[in-house]
Order: sequence, then structure tokens, then C-alpha cells
Amino acid sequence: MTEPLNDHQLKAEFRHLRETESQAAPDYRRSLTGAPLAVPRSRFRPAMQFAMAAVVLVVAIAVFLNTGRDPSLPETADTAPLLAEEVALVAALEMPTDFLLNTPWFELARTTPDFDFQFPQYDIPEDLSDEI
Amino acid sequence: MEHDQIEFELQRLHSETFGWALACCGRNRNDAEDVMQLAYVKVLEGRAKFDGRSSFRTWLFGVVRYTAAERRRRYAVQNRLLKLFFVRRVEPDAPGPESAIDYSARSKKLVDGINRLSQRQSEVLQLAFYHEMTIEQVAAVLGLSIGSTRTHYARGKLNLARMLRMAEQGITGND
Repeated sequence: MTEPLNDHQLKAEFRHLRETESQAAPDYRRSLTGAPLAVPRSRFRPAMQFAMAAVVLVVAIAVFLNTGRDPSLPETADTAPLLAEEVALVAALEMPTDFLLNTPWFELARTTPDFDFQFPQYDIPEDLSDEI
Repeated sequence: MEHDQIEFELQRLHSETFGWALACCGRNRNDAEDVMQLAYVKVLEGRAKFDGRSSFRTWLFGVVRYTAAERRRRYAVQNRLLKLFFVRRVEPDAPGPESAIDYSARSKKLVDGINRLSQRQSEVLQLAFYHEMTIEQVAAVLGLSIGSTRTHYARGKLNLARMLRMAEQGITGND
């Protein structure tokens, strides 16, 4: 079975390590103000490449979709948005040829016929089981 | 505590703090320097406040440890996201030759052994032997109970002894 190390041995080993590492310690001022905090660039390179590619793609699509219209031109009747009054006017417009759709019996096709018919009323016995 | 006094203490404990930062970062020098800088900025800007409940050193070591853990978590999340979106393995930073610490064979054996211990055990042994803290101080830095710290201490020593013996016999942990 492994015996735990003697504390003195262990302390000596650690002291030796401490001496080595304290010699390698950076200067206090350099630690405080030194090199910018390392966010390793290499880690972000793929992310940046992806972001740039996405931006280029979005811009290309936007340019492609916008080619039919020159944004430098002023808004014309074709491109300006409709006002509410204009919308109402268009909705209420009746064409002069609308009457041609009113063929004979046209009303019948649009409505449910009413024949003034009523189903006859029968007196149904309450308990039919007695008769079976 | 006054700003000047804090700065004086930071300067006084600087090399020791560096050793502790190295321990918190698996002996990666670049990471340790980053962690130390972040911790210093936190302390000097007053984002971490010393309330005098423990010694300044114990408190500062707690700040360094917390900062290292915070940084590890942040990089773990970043790595996970990068892997998720780019299906690329993100290798941890390997210290370059200019930044690697020149360990002697004797120290290297100890460092390898420490790095193979669990995080808790290595932290406890580092604080107890490298920084010569008492079990109570170690418990305060790590936010553990004294009983739990004692257990980590005893198991850590046993495991480290095993690692060092294996290293002496030329057996690697993978054998």
C-alpha cells in the first residue's frame, strides 16, 4: 500500500517548486497594465469569418431584391402607400358593367329558397317498448 | 482598506499570488497571468471588497480562485458554442515556448503529479504546502468545511505520493 509522503519531504518539494515559479513571476506593474486580456484571437477567427460571410450574403440578397427599384427616384403614384380614403373609395367602386352579372334567376343562385314547407307533426308515443 | 494599502498588499503578495493563479489554471502561465490581472483589476476597482473577516491573503486567494473558475466557465461556454456552430474542435491554449516555465526535472515530476489530482485535492495541497497555510485558512480560501478540507488533504497526500512513486518508477498514469 502507498504510504503518504512525509510532510517535510512534501514541503521541500513544494518549496523547490515555489522558488522556480516565483522566479518566473511577471513584474507586478506588467501584470496590472500589461498585455491586453487574452481573448485568444484564434478562437474567434471562425466566428468572425462566419459573421462576415453572413453579412455579405444578407447585403447581396438585399441588393438583388432591390434592383427593380431605384431608391433615388421620388415616390410615384405606383410606389406611394395608399391612404385610408383611397382604400374606401376603391372598395365602394361599382363598375358600369356590373349589371351584366345580374342574369335572370341570379337571385336564386345567391339565396336559399324558401318553399314555405313544414314537416308534418306526429304524436309519438312516449314508451314504444310496450308495443313491441 | 485604503486603495494605497490594497496596492501595497497586492505588490507584496504578487509572486505568491502568481503561484496560486498557476495552480488554479493547471500551471498554464498565460491563463494564470490573465486571471491574476483580472483579479487585480477587480480588487483595485472595488468590484471585490475586502471586509476584514479573514486575512488579506486568504481573501485575495479566494478572489483569484473565483476569477479562474469564472474564466474557465466562460471559455467552456464559448467552446461549446463554437463547436455547436462550427463543428470544429477548439484546442485549449498551449503555452508557447517563450511563456512556458522552465521546470527542473524534480519540479516537473511534482507538477505532473499535482495536475493528475482532482481539482480540490490539488488546491488543498497547494495551499497547505506551497503557501504554508493552516487547514483553517485553506478551508476559508476554498469555502469548504474544515472536516471536508482535512479529507481532501489526506486523500490528496496519498494520491500524490502514489503519483510521485509511479513517476520515479517510470510508470505513466495511462499504463
